[in-house]
Amino acid sequence: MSPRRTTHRLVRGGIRGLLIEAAVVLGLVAFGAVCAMVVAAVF
Amino acid sequence: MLLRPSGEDLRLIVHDLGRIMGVAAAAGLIPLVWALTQREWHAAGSIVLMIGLGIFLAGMTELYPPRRHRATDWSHGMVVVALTWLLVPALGALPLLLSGHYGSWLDSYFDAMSGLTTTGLAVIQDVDHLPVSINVWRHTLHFLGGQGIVLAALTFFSASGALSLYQAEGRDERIFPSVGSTARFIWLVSLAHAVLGITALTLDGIFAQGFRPVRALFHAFTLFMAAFDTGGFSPQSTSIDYYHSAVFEVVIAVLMVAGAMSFGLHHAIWNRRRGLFANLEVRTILLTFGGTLIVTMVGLASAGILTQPWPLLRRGFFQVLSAHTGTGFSTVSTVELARWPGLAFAGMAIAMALGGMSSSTAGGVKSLRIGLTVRAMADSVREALLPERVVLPATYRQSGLQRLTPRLAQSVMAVSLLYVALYLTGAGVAVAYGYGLQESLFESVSAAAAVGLSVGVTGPGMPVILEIVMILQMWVGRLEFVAVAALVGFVVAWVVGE
Repeated sequence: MSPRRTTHRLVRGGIRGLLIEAAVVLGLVAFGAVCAMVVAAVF
Repeated sequence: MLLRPSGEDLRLIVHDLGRIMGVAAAAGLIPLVWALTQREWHAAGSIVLMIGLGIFLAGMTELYPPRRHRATDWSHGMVVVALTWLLVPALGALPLLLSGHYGSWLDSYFDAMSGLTTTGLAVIQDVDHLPVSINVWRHTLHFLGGQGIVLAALTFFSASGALSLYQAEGRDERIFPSVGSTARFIWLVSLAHAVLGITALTLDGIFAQGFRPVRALFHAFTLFMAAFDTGGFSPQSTSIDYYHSAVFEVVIAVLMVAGAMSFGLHHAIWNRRRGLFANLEVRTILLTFGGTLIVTMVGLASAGILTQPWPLLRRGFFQVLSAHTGTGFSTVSTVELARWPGLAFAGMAIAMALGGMSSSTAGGVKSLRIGLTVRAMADSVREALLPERVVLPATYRQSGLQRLTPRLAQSVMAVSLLYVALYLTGAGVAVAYGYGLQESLFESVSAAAAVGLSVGVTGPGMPVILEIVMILQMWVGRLEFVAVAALVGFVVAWVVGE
């Protein structure tokens, strides 16, 4: 694989991967926020 | 009858071992650069000593290569990997011991093993005043272990029989047909995360924490290695709580999630494959994370420790994520964590015991095994309830449709049970030394599942036998039993074989 193609793949794949991981973490945080509000309200 | 290994077998093992030790020693160049730029001459000297010793050992084994060209087969690969993970920490402990921050050689070996197995438990004294380069070396051990020291070595030399070495290190996923291509992809994923993760943490360090650029880079560099490789060492004794930054915690959380993901999943995301949420392992880890988070939050709120939604979310979420991904970072102090009530403790301990995904840098039983165990049990119940003539298709989704054979189900359950036995063994020894059952179980699971969260059992001056048991737990837990069993079998065959 040429260095240019490798760099391109690195940037493109890396950014996509990180965006999806960030979205997963935000989804988990949102789930956690709902849980925290419900638990805090109950106790 | 057991067949006694020949001298040629031993030459083959020692030869591969020497090469891997050479690569591990060469990794010392990373902290050496830091030592030279920070003018830490004493630390630089100790790192050079380690590099020299590693290269000397590698050179010695090159003098006695195997007489015949022979591929490393499965059993050789297992023995090489088991020995590698015992000997590399012995080499890596040298700069730690010479730093003067450890009470004994065993303490420095404990930290080196904890670093390499990406556990993160530490018995270091006064980590806040440790030289920068030695701190970088501790974290480099995380990086070496997380990436796979053998995988790292395979990147530099193509060993015949590379697959057996690769699989012996606890990775059963081949992303590409060749191990070399798989290794290159793993490095590519790590590099992409390193560039983006270190940049984000450095910028936060400069603009939000007020660090000078070099200090911000040091914190970002070490924390990236500890987060992405689910290690848990930190340059500060108060771990992530030191930074008091929600942004910092979110970036670290993303890196921890990335580290706990299998590289196969990374490959699927990079190549825009659909249906990721149909994966048994992804579904399992999302369910277990949600469950343990709720249990921990209910435990904290019902005991009146954290009753407001924001602190409950910020502390509870980060702690459970850190536990489930096997990282071991903390936003609460060891003393505070030890005061958590039983239910929150249980939530955290279960999260630690379950661990991350297979073929990732995380430890523990692993989500795929949990998912398969539950699937196999559910299938058994369904079979019992349905008429005899009905045959159920025993399948699951994991990178496509896979067959859940009885043999696979048996091996998955056997490894899961072995993990439970490993957790109980360490807890039993700690209880024998007078520690409480709850804290003993927590610390034992933390060591065996390569997490690193502590409630105070681990530390300078801990009982020597308990320290040795925890070293063994980290070693066996990281290698997932098979390589260790192969090493024991090799030694037994050497002694009693004919």
